Amino acid sequence: MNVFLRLITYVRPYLGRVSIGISATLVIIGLDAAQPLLMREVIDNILTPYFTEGNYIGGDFPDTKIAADFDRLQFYALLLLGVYILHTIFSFINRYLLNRTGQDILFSLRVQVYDHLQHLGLRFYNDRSTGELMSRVTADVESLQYTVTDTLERVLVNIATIVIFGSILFGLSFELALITLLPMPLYSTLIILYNHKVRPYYTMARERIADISALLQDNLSGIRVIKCFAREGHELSRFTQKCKAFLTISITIIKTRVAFFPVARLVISMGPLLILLFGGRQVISGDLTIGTLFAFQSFLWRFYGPVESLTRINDTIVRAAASARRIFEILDTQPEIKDTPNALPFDRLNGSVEFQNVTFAYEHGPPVLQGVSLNVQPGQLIGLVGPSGAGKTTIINLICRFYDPDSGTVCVDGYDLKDMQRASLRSQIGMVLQEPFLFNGTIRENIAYGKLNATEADIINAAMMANAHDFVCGFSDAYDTHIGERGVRLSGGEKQRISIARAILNDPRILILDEATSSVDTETEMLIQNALERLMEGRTTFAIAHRLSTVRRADCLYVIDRGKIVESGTHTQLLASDGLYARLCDMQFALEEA
Amino acid sequence: MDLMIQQLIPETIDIRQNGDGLLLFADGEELAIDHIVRCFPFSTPEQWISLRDRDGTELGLLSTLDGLNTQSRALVEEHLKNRYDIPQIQTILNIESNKEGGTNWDIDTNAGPMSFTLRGDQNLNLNAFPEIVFTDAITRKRYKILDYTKLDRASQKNARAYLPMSSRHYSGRRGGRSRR
Repeated sequence: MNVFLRLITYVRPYLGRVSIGISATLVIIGLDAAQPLLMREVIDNILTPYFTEGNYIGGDFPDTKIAADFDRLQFYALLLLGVYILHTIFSFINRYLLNRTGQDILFSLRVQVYDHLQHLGLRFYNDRSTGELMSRVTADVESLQYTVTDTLERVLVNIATIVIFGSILFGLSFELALITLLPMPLYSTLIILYNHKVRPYYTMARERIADISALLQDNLSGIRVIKCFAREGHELSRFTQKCKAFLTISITIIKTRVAFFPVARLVISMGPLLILLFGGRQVISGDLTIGTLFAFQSFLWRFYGPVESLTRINDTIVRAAASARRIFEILDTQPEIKDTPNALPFDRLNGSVEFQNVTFAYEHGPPVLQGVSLNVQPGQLIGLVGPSGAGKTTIINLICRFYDPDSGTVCVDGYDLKDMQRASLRSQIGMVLQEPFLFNGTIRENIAYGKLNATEADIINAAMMANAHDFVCGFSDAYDTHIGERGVRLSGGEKQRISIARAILNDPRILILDEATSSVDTETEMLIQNALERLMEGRTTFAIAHRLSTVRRADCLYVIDRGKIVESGTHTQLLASDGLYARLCDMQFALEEA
Repeated sequence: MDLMIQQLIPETIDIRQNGDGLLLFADGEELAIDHIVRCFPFSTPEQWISLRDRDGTELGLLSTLDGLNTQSRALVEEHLKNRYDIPQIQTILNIESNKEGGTNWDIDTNAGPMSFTLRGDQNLNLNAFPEIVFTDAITRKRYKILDYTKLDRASQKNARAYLPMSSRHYSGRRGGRSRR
């Protein structure tokens, strides 16, 4: 479907409001039409009789006629005043209703895009930068602000105006009306050429803006690294480069526009010029009254105005289409992982996990997991160890069903994940990551993120279990403390303990610990480890750890190498088998000794 | 979820003045209270009060002050008042944007005219609306509007343009009535 027509479908819920708005505009057109006609009446029937061949002859008229003409003049003035007042009232109605509708459409479009984004899988995000997506949800949606309602209104109203005023022009003088249409073929050709030229420029401009957003988002998130490496100058030059690319395309658009619009205006100005020539001749030869010529000239601009306006609308549509295309591209992307119609909900999982001969590759890359099989009983602590890039995180991604395996099956509680509702699975998985992600809000809100109806007692209890309560109470606003973006006002260890409290409150059946203690000092590590012990109690836990001491008490350790499980067993068993795990342990021991 | 939270039972404890500090008598023990903290000073200020010693260790947690004997309650309330008392904004005289992208507020409070600077939503707390707490971005000092709906119209109008309030903050609050 044409992008603009698709945008128009968003008007459907507001048809009533839009109809009233457009009706108000039609009334405004009528009122616009009335003004020159009233003026023509005044000029031809009241004022013109007082002059002959440019000389005033009113002195010869009886006082009664002059008084009657004053009254008529007053009447027409009042009538015009009424027209102006009605014009103001209907303009208000029209502007308010259509602008309001525009805002409502933007609101629903923005929410729809965001909702859709949330349901798209990780593959979608792997290919795109955060800044670029943000640009689509904010800047691209914003650029449609007036497009839908305003453009629809302007298209309808301008067409109506052209028809109404065109008819009036033909009614006033058929011959002059035909002359009015003379510049139109050239004018239309210019519009077609302009569209063809400017359309790709607008798409490029939207892409350049997205590039700027992406770089900005990246750099602001990494401002510490930039400062640390003193790369401000380098980043400024990168940013300037991106801005220059946008500037270049913007200047190209400006050049195209400024070349087109004045030329178009020149072409259309030929109309009034021709009317002055031909209409003036008709007045001189007595075939046309001055009032009619005046009215014709007034209507002429009211006729050309909408024609010119349609040209500008065309420019708006071309520009908006570039944004709309980028928005619809998101909305048209189907989530690669969806619940099947028969997917089952699970209120409370037991927590057994099984991989049956699982093979998986990201996109078209080489397999990251090959024939992986593992069987985990509810409540077991499982350690996943191995070199970087071995496939440990991929195992976690498959348990959370962020991806589906290419072959083989992943089961929880004996059910294939494809047969489970994603929400009921994921709501029972808790994660504590190396870099915990906290939201910009209060500590209270962050802890209660997974259980919005948590009581104060629940929140305090979770914080106590996570060894967070004491440091939280040390802040002047305690649990009501705003922690800033990504929890920037907290230390790494504090953030980690808040994230553990959040996981505790969520009460997951399956817990994933991804290097949860690797980036903190020894004392904090003890506090976190202690909190994690409490968190792990009674839950199936998968712990990824490079520091092997943290997983040595696991019920079973799986050693992953190049996408395959090369060893499994307890710490003691693996040491005794003298394989990769034993070598990794030796290397770490040597490092610690050094 | 296991329970770690251990609350003091208000009816079974006694709090007494001890020089500049306070003493807690609970379970036959006598403990020196150094400071008393509200766990949720904005969202539920009257509940979850933490009694702490000099090292910041929690001596006990009161889910409510109800049930405390009169003298103990008065001592806790006075301590909390001293710790949390912040100037109450009565009129917002003027708000201006500053060059740093924040806003400067001139206000009249129960302690006289004052001014503060905000640099974003992090300096604002609307959790207990219609109560609003502002934190000066520079001095970290706090100021409070006890009930936004009871401010004069000019102050409300001044503030409305700068506060991130949504319809939930307005609904049912006209006429100066509060839902709290």
